[in-house]
Amino acid sequence: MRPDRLLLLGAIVSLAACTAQLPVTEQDAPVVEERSQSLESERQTGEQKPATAKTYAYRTPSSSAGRSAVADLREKARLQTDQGKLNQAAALLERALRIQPRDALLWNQLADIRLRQKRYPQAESLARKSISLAGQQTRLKVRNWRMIATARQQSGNPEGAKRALRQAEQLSNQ
Amino acid sequence: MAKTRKRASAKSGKKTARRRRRKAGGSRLRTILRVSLIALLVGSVLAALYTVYLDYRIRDQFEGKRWALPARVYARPLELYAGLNLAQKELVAELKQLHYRPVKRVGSPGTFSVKGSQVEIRTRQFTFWDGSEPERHVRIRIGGGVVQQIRDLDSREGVPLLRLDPVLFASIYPAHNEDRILVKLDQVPETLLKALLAVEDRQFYQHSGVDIRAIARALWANLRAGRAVQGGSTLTQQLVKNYFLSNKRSLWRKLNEAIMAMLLEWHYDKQEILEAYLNEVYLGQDGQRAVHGFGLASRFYFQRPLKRLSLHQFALLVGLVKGASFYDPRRFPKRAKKRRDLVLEQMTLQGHISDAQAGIAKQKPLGVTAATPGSISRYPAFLDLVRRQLRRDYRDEDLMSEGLRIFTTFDPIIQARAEQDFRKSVDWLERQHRIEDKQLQGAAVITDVQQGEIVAMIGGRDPKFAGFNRALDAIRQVGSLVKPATYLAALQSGDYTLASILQDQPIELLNEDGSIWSPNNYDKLFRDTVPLFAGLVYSLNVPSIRLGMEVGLDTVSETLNQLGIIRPLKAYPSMLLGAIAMSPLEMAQAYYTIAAGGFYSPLRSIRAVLDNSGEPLQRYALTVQAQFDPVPIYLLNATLQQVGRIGTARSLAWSFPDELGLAGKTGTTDDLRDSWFAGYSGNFLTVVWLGRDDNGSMGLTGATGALRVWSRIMSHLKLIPFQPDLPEGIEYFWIDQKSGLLSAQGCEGAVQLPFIIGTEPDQEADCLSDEVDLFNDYE
Repeated sequence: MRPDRLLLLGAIVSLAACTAQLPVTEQDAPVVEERSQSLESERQTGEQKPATAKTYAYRTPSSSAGRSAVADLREKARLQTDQGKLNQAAALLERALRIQPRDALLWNQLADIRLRQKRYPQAESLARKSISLAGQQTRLKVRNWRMIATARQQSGNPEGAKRALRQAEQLSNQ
Repeated sequence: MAKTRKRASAKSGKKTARRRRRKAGGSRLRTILRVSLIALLVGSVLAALYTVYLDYRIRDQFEGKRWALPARVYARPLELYAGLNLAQKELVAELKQLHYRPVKRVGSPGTFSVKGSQVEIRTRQFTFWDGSEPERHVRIRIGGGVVQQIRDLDSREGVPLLRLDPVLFASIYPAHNEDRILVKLDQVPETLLKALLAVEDRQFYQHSGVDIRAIARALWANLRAGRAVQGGSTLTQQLVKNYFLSNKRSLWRKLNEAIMAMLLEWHYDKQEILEAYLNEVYLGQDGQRAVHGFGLASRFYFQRPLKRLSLHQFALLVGLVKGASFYDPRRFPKRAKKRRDLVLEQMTLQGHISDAQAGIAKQKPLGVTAATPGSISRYPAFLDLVRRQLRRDYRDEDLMSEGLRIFTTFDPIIQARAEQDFRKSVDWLERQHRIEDKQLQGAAVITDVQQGEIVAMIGGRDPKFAGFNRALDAIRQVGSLVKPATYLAALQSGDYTLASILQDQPIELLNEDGSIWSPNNYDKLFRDTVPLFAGLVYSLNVPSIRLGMEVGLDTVSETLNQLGIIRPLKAYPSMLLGAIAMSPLEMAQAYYTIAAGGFYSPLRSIRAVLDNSGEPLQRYALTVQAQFDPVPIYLLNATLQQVGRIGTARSLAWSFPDELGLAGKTGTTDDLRDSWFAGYSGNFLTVVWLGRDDNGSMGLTGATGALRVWSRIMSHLKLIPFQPDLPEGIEYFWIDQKSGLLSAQGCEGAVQLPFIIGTEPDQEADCLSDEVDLFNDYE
C-alpha cells in the first residue's frame, strides 16, 4: 500500500473511532480506493469533490405524512364515485397520489373508476400499477387481478381474463 | 359559414361569365338590354353578398381581437397538509408570489401574518377544474421544516388538506406564435397618439375609413417619382391590412381593404378603432415571433413600459410603422434615426411640439437596448412547452376562445432554485475546465416519477431568454444514455441475468455507410470477459455492443419504443452506443418509464384547461401504460442504482447518503461533444444535457459535466429514497464484480445484486481476490 493511502485509511479509522456510532461499512471501503487514484483519472471520472456541493441533508419522511390528507381525499372520491361523478372522483384521487404516489390502494381506486368508465386498457394498466406497489397486501392484489379479468373480458379477451383470474386464485390460496 | 359563402359567390361568378358570353353573341337590342339588366341585378346582388361576406370577416376579426383576453397560465397549487416537508420561508415565498400581503392582523382574503412558528392566513376563494376551494382563515404551525398542524380558526377544527390558489405565472395567446402586451387607449400617452396621427393619418378623426385626398396626394407623389413612394392608407385601412397579413400588393386587395375599412368605420367608433390599431400594428420581429402593438414594442426596443418613454422614443416607434424591418433600429440605426427625425419634423410642422422640443429630441441617441429582452414571462422555456402541448392537443377554435385558464404542473419554487443551481454549476464548470467563456450551453428537465408531470424546465444558460429552447429542440447524440435499453431488452428476453458473462474482446462491425467499425471501450482496454451488470454500471462499450448484437438491433429499437421514444430509429450497430440524436425531453420520457417501474405515462405540462365560463375544455388525466414485466425493470433499476454507488456516477456518494438509492446513467459522445446525466430518486427525475450549440467539443464527460449540474439541482429538491418494491421471486446475492461469481459480504469487490431465485450463479469466487482495479478508467 502506498503511504498516501495508508494516511487516508488512518484518517478514516480515527474518524470512525471518534464517532463510535459511525460504522465503517462496505460502502465506505471504495472511498479509500477512489481517493487514491491518480489526478488524471480523477479528472476523467469527476471524482474530485466539488467545492460547491455539500452533503445532502436527508430527512426520513415520517410514514404518517399526509395520511389524513389522503384519507380525506379518498373519502371524498368515494362519495363522488357513488354519485356517479367519476371524473371528479378521478381528479381527487390524482391529488391524493401527488401526496402519496406509492399508495397501492389509490391506484386501485383509480383503476376502479376507469373500469366503470369502460376505459378497459387504462383500467388494466392502473390495476397492474397497483399490484406493482402492493407489496404484501395480498387481498388488494387479488382485487386488482379480478379487475384485470373484468377489463379483459369486457374488451373481448376471454383467454386473458382467465389467466388473470387464475392469478387471483393462486394469490388468494396462498 | 364564411367558406360556403365564398364558394357560392365563386359559382355564381362563373354563371355571370357565361351570360356575358351569351350577351356578346346576341343580336337583338331587347335581349341585350334584358340580359344586361339581369347581369346588373345579379352583379349588385353578388356585390351586396360579397360586402356582407367582407363585413362578416372584418367584424369577426375585430371582435375576435378587440377584447381578446389572454389565456391565464397557472402553476401547480400548493397543497398543505400535516407532515408536508415545507420550510416556513418557502410557504412565505409562495404567499408572496401569490401577492398575499403580510399584515399585523389577518383580516381580508389574501393576507397573512407570521408569529414565531405560526403562519396565519386568510386564503382566497378559488375555483379549480375539479371544484372550488372556499375562503378560509387558518393557522399553520411549521416546525423543523415540516408542517405540523393546520387549524381552521373559524370552525376551530383541524384541516386535513388546504389547497392554496395557484400562482399566475403567464398570460398568453395560445393560438398565436406571439406574446402581446395590450394597452387601453386611456393609458396611451398623448404624445404617441399625436406622433402617430401626424405621420400616418392626419385626417383620422374626419374620414370615414378611406381618405380620398390622401390617396390622391399619394398617387400624385408616386406618379411624379415613377414608383410607389407614399401610401395613402388611413389607420383604419392599415388595421385591416394587419388583420389579414399578406404581402401581395394587388389592386383587388386594396379595394377589399378599402371596403372593409369603411365597414369598420360604420360599425365602430374612432376610439375603438384606434385602440385596436395600437395593439395590432406590426412593429418588429423577435426571432420567430412577430412583435405586434405598441405595448410589446416598447418593451422589445426599450425594455420599459410605454408610459415611461419620452418624445424621441415615441417618434422612433411611430417611424417603425412604415416598415419595421427596413427601419429596424438595431440593424439599421442610421436609417432609423433619419426616420425618427422625420417624424419629429412632421410633429413640429403640425404644431404638436415646438422647434426647441424637436431639436432636443433629435440630439438624443436612439436609446434602444442592445439585446432583445426575454419573453414577457419569467419562465419562457416551460411556457414554450405549455404552448406546444396546447397546440398539439387542442383544436385551434378552442385555443382562439378568449379568457382560457390553463392549469399546469409547473412548480415555481423548484424552477427558481434549479435555474440558480444550473447557472452556478455551469459557470463553475466553465472556469474549472477552462472552457471558452459562455460557450458551454445546456438544458434540464425535471419531472415527478409516478404521474408523468414535468415540474420545471431549463432551456439554456439564460433562463429568461425566450429563444432556442434546448430542452425541447437541442437534438443531440445521446451516447451511453441509450445503453439501459440494450440491457433491458436482454433482461426481458429471459436469457440473461445480471451476472451473465459478456465478451469484452475486439469486435468488427459493418457501419451504416458500409465501412468497418471496431468500437473501443472508453479506456481503450479489453477485459476478456465481464459480468453483464458491470457492462452497464461501468458503461463499457464493447460488452454493451456485443450484448446488443446478440439481443438484436430491432429488439433494442423496440425497447426504446416501449420506453416512450416515438422518433423513428435506424437500426445500426452504432445506435447501441448512442449514435442517435434526441432531445433532453425525449430522454426524460424514456428514463421516466424506467423510474416509474416500467409504466409509461406521456410527460405532460398541463393538468386542465377551463374556458371562459369555467367549463373544462378537456382534462389531461393521468394515464399509465404497463410496458414491461416488473422483474426485468426491477433488475435494471437495481443496476442503475449501482451506477451511483460504484459505477460511472459514483461521485454521487460524496454528496448524497446511500439510503436515497439514487439511480441513473451517464452519457458522453465522441470528442466530448455532449455530456448527459439522467437520474432519479423516489420522487424526482432530472435529465441534464451540456454541450456547445455549434456541436464542438467542450471537454466534459457525463460524469465531469452533466452529473455535476444534476447533483447540484437534486441536492436542493426534497428527495425521498428510490426503493422499488421487490417483485415476488427475487432475492439479493453478493456477487464478485470481476468474475460474476457468488461472493460474500465483506469480500473485496463484492456487490449485492438481485436475481430471480434459481438463476443466481452457482459457483463461488475467491473472497480475497486482488484489488479490483479493473473498472477505474471509464467515462
